[in-house]
Amino acid sequence: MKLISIWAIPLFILIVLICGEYKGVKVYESFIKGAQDGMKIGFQLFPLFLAIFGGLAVFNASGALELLCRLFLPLTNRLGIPAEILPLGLIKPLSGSGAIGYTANLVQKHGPDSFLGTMASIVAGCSETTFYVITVYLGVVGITRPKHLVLMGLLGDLVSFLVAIMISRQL
Amino acid sequence: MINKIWLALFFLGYLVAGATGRVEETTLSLIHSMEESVKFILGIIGFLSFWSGLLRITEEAGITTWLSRVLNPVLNRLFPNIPSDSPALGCITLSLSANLLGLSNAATPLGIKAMKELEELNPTPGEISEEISIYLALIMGGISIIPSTIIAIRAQAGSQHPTSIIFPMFLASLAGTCTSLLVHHIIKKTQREGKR
Repeated sequence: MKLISIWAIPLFILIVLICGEYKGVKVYESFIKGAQDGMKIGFQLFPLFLAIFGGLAVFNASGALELLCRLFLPLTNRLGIPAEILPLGLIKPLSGSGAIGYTANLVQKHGPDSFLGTMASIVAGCSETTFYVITVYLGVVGITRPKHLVLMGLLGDLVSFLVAIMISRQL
Repeated sequence: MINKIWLALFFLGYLVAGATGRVEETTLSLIHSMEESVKFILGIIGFLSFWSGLLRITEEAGITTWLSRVLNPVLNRLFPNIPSDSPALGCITLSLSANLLGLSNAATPLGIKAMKELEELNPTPGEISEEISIYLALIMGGISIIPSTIIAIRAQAGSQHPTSIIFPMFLASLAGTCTSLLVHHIIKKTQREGKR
């Protein structure tokens, strides 16, 4: 497994370059052209990140996120979700880096192979960041109304969150 | 929707900040986040450009169309309305493969490419098409066989089994993705019945 993750990127690069050369593509020149497109996409994305990071910073630093978690406490107690895991479930659809940061913190504190550490890792790794996907993927083609996608993403998040907790209880 | 959520983040945030006397810290954190987003975009712009450069070669060498031909049977079933020789299918395949390999930084530029292709096929530009909805259900589900970031975090913290979470994670993501696809189909059905 470790070998696969180490070699995934280099293999991809080598295969693309060798196939390109074989098919008679001017690899360097077409790389430069493509990279210029990449720069443009990067600048297009910047305002999106600025907006999301800003909103989340306010929501998090003010203590509103913590309050939201506390509101859900009676529910989580009944479902048997550890109090430390719930914030992760709430942050996850909003901010991928937030969820990763929270998990890293929990793993350091309780140990990676502990009950909480394992559960946090599983919860953090399953499913993409719903609002990130909606903002970036729709934003880049100029669709402004996400309609049912928010519901679709959040229900998916909820199910994968509950399944992740159920499975890690069995381990 | 996103407008209201964004407004709510600020409105509720500052409401709570006012009530708990953390207004100043909150504003400092907001200002800090502006710097963070610049750092973040600078951090990914290199990767984004490098990957777009490689993709250009992939495209010009015809690898994208070749790959989509291999995965055609599966994707044809999920996207019956996209012609099987369309570059959109190749882009979808590539972005899903990047997700599967846990190359989340690579997945975004690939996904953006796929979205642009899907928008060109969109019969109602500016609105979500059926194909976009299915594609994003798959992306948001985030099925992964190598969750590289999480494995790295665990290994760094001294785990004896950093990769032990792979299979449970796969199952949980699969359950989430199936739910999203189910939601898509239910909504599609009710919309059709509503039109009658």
